[in-house]
Amino acid sequence: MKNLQRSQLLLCFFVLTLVYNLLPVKPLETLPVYRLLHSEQVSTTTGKTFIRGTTSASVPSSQTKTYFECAEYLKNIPTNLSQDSSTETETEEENPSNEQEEFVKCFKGTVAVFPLFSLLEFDLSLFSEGGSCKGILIVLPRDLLTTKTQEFVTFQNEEEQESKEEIIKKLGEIESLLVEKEFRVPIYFINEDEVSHLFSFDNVNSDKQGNYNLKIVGKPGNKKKIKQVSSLEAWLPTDLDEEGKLKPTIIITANYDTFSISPALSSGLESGNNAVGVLVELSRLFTKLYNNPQTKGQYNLLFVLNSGSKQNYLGTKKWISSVDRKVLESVELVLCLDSLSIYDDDLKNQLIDDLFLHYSNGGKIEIDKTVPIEFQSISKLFGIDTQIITKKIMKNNPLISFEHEIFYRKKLKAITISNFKSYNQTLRKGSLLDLQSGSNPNARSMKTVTTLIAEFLSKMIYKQQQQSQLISIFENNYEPNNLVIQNINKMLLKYNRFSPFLEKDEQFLLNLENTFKSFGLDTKIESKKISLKRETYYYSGTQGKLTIFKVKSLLFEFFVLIMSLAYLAILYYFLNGKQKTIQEIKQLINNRKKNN
Amino acid sequence: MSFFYLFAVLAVLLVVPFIYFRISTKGQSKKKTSILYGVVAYLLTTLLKMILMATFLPDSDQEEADFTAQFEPVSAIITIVVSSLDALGCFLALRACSGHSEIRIFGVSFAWSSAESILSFFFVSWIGCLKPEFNWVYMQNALGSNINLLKQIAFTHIIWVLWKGKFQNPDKRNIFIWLSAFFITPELFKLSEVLLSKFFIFGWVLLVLKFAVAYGLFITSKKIYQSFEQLNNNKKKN
Repeated sequence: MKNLQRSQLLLCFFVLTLVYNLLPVKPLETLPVYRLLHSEQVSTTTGKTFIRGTTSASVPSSQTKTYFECAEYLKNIPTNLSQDSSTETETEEENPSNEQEEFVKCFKGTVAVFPLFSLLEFDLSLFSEGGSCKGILIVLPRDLLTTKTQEFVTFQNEEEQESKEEIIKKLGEIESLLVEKEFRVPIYFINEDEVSHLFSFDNVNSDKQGNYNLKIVGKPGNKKKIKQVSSLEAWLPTDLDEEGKLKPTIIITANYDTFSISPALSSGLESGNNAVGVLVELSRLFTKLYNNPQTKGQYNLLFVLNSGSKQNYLGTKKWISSVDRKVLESVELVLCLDSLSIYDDDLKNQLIDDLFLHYSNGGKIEIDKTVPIEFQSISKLFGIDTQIITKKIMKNNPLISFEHEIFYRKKLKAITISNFKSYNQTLRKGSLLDLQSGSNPNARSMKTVTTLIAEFLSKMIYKQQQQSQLISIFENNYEPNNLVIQNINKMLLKYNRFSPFLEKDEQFLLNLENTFKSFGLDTKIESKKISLKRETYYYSGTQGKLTIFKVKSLLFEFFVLIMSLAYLAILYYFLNGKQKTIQEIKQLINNRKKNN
Repeated sequence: MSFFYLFAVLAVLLVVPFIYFRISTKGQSKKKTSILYGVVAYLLTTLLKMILMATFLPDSDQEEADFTAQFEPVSAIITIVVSSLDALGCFLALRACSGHSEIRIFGVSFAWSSAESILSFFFVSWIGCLKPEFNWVYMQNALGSNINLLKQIAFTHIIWVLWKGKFQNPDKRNIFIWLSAFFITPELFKLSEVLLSKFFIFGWVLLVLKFAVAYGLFITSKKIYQSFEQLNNNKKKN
């Protein structure tokens, strides 16, 4: 009977324990995480689907393992992205693959936590197949390109000092790998600030701060493609000519969309889209000038903001095909503003980049060479070196390097102003580096370039002769207001502007429209439907919820139990007294012997 | 799941009072009645205290395990006054049960502190210990309840002495002062926790300090009780 009661009690205990374990558990922390993009591209010729990015959305509850816990396997192998391939021998090639396999095996059944720059040390594509780790969590450093990060990158070889350009280039290669390959394992990004107290990434030899179990709940989301692109136009007209026709027009364009390997982290302003604030400020300055009859220019000005810049300038192409023919015929120049950040905050407003003026030549459209030379001479007065780059357009090549090429193909004279020399530089393609310090593009850059462009335009508009001195229009009341530019940029930094996910009535577009209207400009937003021959779909599940639990090993808890029992024994011994305790133990042993 | 940790915490929480009670009351009868009255007295006293606290301190929901709790003088004073009901509850339990004085004192103390442990920590520990997250707080609560047992025994001794002693005894005035220390001590602990938390002293160190104070109270109360019993025995002989 007693045995039956005991077994019933034990059964009740276990059942109750199971029931309690079904109750929701309060985790240590819940944090937002950002998923690597998942895209599918269907080939029109073969019908094959190319999957890119990560296809899984959820990470089951698993133990975490940081890069440092398995880094010992990587000590002797050259990096996959390294250019020092000449020193490799055959035997060294065999060992690295074994060591990389050991490195991957080390993360089996766990969630791998990698600081972003640790991805430079091994080939991430080894994790692309499922069955290795349960998930990858990439920690984005607080300041992507500070010296602190450089110390991490060069920790293995203290003699080599990698330059900022090399780090950017390598990061670009990592990002390309992440979006060009299919990963069956979920990959998420998280900010360092949110996990710095859990995982230490400062010291290479840091001990793990405790075992953690991690779980990420994410949804794959819906398949989306670019259905429409929206353009925002602001028209600043001048008087009609004597015959009642439109006077010449200058179009100033910029792009507001971004691209990022994690769509939920696409609010940056470094990749060719930080000219929005400059364009808005230019519109304000010239509206002010035009409002004064004495300074009203002889040109119409059309300010345009387009989307789809990372999809081969889809937005601009659609927009130009729908512009009024009369306006198009009156266009004398199209000024395309690309990325304009030329000073560096980290280096205390030091000039780090030249400006580049891109234009195309050859064919029936010949841009007057005095135009780029004039821009170059004005920029010199500001202490900026502008290099002029010309490129012939190949009609068979559909790739648009810079925006002016679209207008050139429509037989319009156009130039692009950018701080990028080449169209395929990492930062220009859209990168996580867009989120550098989460800050505004350098304020000095924006103001200086705004003044420069305003001076250049004013020379055209007011038909002044080339002078060696600066025209003093843009000072005092007409000085570019940095606050306007910074406020526009701050506003844009709050919104994810990943073009495939943009809708017609995005709040930031409406805000920009209101801004133009407040200056007194005739403004409109136009959305045009897109249907592409080659469809690329993006999945909208871009964010996840990470819950983290602190765990201890079973062995540790068994040790705690033993210590507790020892505490009870010591307490009993202390209270009962030595002799009595020994007597009781002897009695117990004797009783058992009798029973047996 | 961590059954080991759960067993460890429950063992410390429940077994220690049992060990102490068994050793202290070995070979004596009428233990069950004192335990029963102790439990009932605790439950009724706690219920009454909760009603009064809810009436006068509706916003107070400080957790004992929260070492960074704020210290508020007004609420502390109200808590001290309401806590004095513990003395009344203890007194009624001692009066209701029968048997030798030590049986009554240890029985009521053991029952009171065990009931407090079970209602405050047992279920919380059962759920908490089985979570994937490990937290020392459950073990600290279990050890804290052992310390409370010491304090409760000391407290019950003092109540007994107050009840059985005569008012003319000049020592009794001192005992009243000593008794008030029991009510002030929890609030003093809260104040010390707030002050110590500024120096980042939590958890285990606070536990050691609490044990030191509780042990001090226990030793002193036992001496007072023993001197009182000696006085009583001398009077009876005379």
